[in-house]
Amino acid sequence: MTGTADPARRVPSGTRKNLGIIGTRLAISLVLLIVMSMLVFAATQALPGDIALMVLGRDATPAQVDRLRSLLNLDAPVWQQYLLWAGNLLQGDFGTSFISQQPVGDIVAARISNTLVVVILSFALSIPISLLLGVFTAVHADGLGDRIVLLVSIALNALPEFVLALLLVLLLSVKVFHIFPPVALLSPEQSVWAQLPRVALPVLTLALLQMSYFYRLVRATMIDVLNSDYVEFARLKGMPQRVILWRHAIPNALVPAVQAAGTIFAISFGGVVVIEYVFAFPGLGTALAEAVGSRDIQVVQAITLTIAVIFFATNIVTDLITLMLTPPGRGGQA
Amino acid sequence: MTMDSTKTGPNRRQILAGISATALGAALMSGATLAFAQSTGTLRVACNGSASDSLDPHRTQGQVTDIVRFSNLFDGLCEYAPDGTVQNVLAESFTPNADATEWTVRLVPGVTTHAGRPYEAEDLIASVRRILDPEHPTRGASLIAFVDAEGLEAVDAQTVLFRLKRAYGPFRDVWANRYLRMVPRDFDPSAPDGTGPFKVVSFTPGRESVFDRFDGYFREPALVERVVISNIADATAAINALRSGQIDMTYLVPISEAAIIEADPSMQLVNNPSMLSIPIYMRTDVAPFDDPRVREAIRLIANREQMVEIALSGYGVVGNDMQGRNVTPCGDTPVPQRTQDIERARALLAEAGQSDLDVEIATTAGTPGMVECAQILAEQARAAGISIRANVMDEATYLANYGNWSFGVDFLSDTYLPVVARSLVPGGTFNNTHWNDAEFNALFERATASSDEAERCEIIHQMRTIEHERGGNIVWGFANTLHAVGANVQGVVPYVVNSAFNNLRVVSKS
Repeated sequence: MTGTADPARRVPSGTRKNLGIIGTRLAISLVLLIVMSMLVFAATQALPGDIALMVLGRDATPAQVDRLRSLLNLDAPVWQQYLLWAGNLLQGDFGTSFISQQPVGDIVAARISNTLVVVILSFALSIPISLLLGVFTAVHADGLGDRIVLLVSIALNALPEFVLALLLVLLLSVKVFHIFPPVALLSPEQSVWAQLPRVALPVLTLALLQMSYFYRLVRATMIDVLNSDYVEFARLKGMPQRVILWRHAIPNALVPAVQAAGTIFAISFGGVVVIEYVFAFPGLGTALAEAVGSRDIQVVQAITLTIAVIFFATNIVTDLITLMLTPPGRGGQA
Repeated sequence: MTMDSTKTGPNRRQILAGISATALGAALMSGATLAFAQSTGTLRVACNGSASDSLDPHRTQGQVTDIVRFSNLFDGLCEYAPDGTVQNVLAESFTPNADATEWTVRLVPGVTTHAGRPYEAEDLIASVRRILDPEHPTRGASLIAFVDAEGLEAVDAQTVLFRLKRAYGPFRDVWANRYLRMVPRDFDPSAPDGTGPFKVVSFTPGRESVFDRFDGYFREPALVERVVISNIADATAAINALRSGQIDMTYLVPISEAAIIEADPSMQLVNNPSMLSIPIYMRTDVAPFDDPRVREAIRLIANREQMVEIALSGYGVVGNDMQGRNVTPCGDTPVPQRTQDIERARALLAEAGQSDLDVEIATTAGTPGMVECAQILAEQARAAGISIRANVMDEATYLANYGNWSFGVDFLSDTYLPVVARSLVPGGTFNNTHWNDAEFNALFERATASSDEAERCEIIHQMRTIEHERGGNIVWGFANTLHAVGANVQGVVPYVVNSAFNNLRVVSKS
C-alpha cells in the first residue's frame, strides 16, 4: 500500500528525530557560514580598484593615497586582515565603513528593517493569493479561468522586473490613476510602519513577481496530488470533493510549496536591487550595489553575510514547517 | 480518519489561518489614498549622493548632494552669479598690494552664524587653515595653494591680511569656488554651524537631510521655510517623483528624458550652459601619443557635431580643443574651428608610421556623454583605417589607474584658470595628458600673477591657442547640465558655473 497511502496521514514517530535533523542542519549551516565569510572576504579583495582612491577621489596625490592605505590597515597581509575582521565580527562588531565613517552595523540594520517590511508585506499578499489561485486553477485545470491566470502569470514572469515596476508606476501613480506615490521616499526619522503607503508600489511589484511563480508551483503540485492514487481512492469511496481537497489534497501539495516559499523569501531579500532602484527604496539590495560600486568593502561583507544568514535561516525554518506539515517527516520509512 | 490523529505542533489550518491574517493587514494598507503634493513652505529637492554624504564643506567627496547641502548651509567670500561673473558674499572688499603678493580682505560687518555668533576675521583664518590642512586633504586646497597658511593675519575683527607664496592676480575670483566655503573657527561637522541661508534640522547620510530657513541671514532670507533634500540614485525614479508632485526639483535629468520634460506642462527643464567639458585625453609623454602628428590625427578624426548630437542629444556645444566654454570676461579666442578631416588624419598617421594604430580608450559613466563619446570616436576611427576600442569600466576600476591611462575620457567643470591649474600644467591632479609645455607653463605663471584684467585676458588667449595647436586633449564639446523642476517652482534660473540648486534661497513655490 506504500504507493497509494496518503503520506500526510501517517502516525508520528517522535520529535527527537526532528530535533536531530534541525541540529544537524544548524551545524552544517555554521560551517557553511564560515566558508562563506572566507569566500566573501576573498571576493572583496579580488575586486578591481583601490579603496583608498575611492575615498579620496580623482584629485588625490599618491602620498595621500599611501597614508590612507596604511591608516586603513590595507597594507597588512590578507590573512591578517581576515582574522582581524572575523574576530571583530564574532564580537558583533561589523567595523566602520571606510566611505561613510559610520558603524557598518547601523547602516545594515536600517536597510534590513526596510527590506524586511517590504518582503513580509509582499509575502502576506502573495502567499495566500497564490494558494487560492493555485488550488482554484488546479481544480479547474484547462478551464478558461485557468488559462487566463496562467497567461497573465507567464507574461508577468517574462517581463524584466523593472519593466513591471515602471508599468505599475505609470498605471497607479503617474499616468492613469494617482493612488500611490511613485517613489518610496522614506523619511529616516520615522519607522517604515508609519509611512506604509510609500512602500505600496514596491510591495505590490514584489508580490506580483512572487505570485507569478508561486501560484504556478501550487497549481502544478495540486494537479499532481489530485491525480494521485489516494485522492482517486478517496473519490471512489464517495468522499465529497470539498473534503478531498481540504483534508487530503491541499496538505500534501503544501510541502513543496513551503520549500519554494522559503527560497522566494530569501531571494526577495537580496535579489530585488532593480526594483529598489526604480522606487528609490532604501533597501538591502541597493545598499549592496552601491557599496560594491564605491568599494565600501566592510558594507559589502556585512550585507553579503547577512543575506547568507537569511538563506540559511529560511532553509531551517522551511524545514521546520515541512516537518510540521508532514508529521512523520520521513516519507516511506514510517 | 479524523484530524486529531496527529499531535505534533500547530495543525495546517492554524498555519493557514495565520498566513491569511497577515494578508488582511497588508490589504488594509493598500486602501489608503494619498495627496502627493507638499505644502508651499517646504521645498523638496532630489539629488544623487552616496553613503559617503557629509555636512563638511571641505572634507567631501564632492558628490552632488554634498555640494547642494553645503552651498546652502555655508557662504563663500564670493559666489558666481548666473552669468558666471563673481560677486562678493561674506567679503566686502579685496585690496591687493602693488605686486599682488598680499591681499587685504574686509568682511561684511554684522554677519552672524546659525548659533548667533558674529562671523569675524578669526573665523575666516580658521577656515582657510582648515582648507589647507595637510593632514586632512580637501578639494579646495589645490585652488588656494598660493596662500601661506601661517602668514594669515587678523588686522582687526573684520579684516584679514593674506600673504601669498607667489603673486596671484585673480585672487578674488578663486573664492567663488564651491569648495571654498567658510565655517566658524571651532567648526564641528557633526553639529555644523554656518552663516548660510539655511540651518540643519536633521541629516541621514545617503538618505535625507532637512534644513530650516535661517531668519537671521545677513542677506535677504530664503523664500521657503524648509528644504528637504532626498537622495534618489535613479534618474527615472526622480522624474517620476517630480511628475507626481512628490518632489519639487530634481538635480539629475538623463539627457534622453530632456525632450519629454520640455513637452510636459507639469515640469520645467533647466538647461544650464555649463562649463562642463568631457575631454578625450591622450598622454603626451608615452607612445603613440607623444608624437604630435598622432594627436592631431585623432583630433581630426573626431566629428564633434556628431558627438554633441549623439552623446549629448544636442544639449551642449561643440568644442575646439581648448578648455573653457567661455572665458568671461575675455571673450572668444580667435582660432578657427577644427573639423573632421579623415584624409589629413590618414596622411598624418602614415607620416608617423601609425597607419594601423590599434588603441584602447578608457572610460566610465562619470557623467552623461563620457561613455558615448568614446564609443562614437571608436566608430569614427574606422573611417581612417585605425582601431580604437572603447573600454567601459566601473568607476572604481577606472579610478584605480587614473592618471595612467594613455588614452581616456575625463570630465572637468570649472572656469578657465582653475581648469588649467588642475589639468594642463605639471602637478595638476587631473593632468591626464601629462602635458608639460614650457611656453604654456610660463604663460600660465604670468596669467595667475597678473592683477590687470586686460593683460590677463591677452595671456589667456595665447594659452588657449597653444592648447588648440599642440595640447593633448580632444575638447570635442561642452555639456549642458540639466535639471528639472515642477511647474509651480519659481526663481530657478540657468547658471554658467554654479547651479540653482546651490542657491535655494531665491527659490519659491506656489
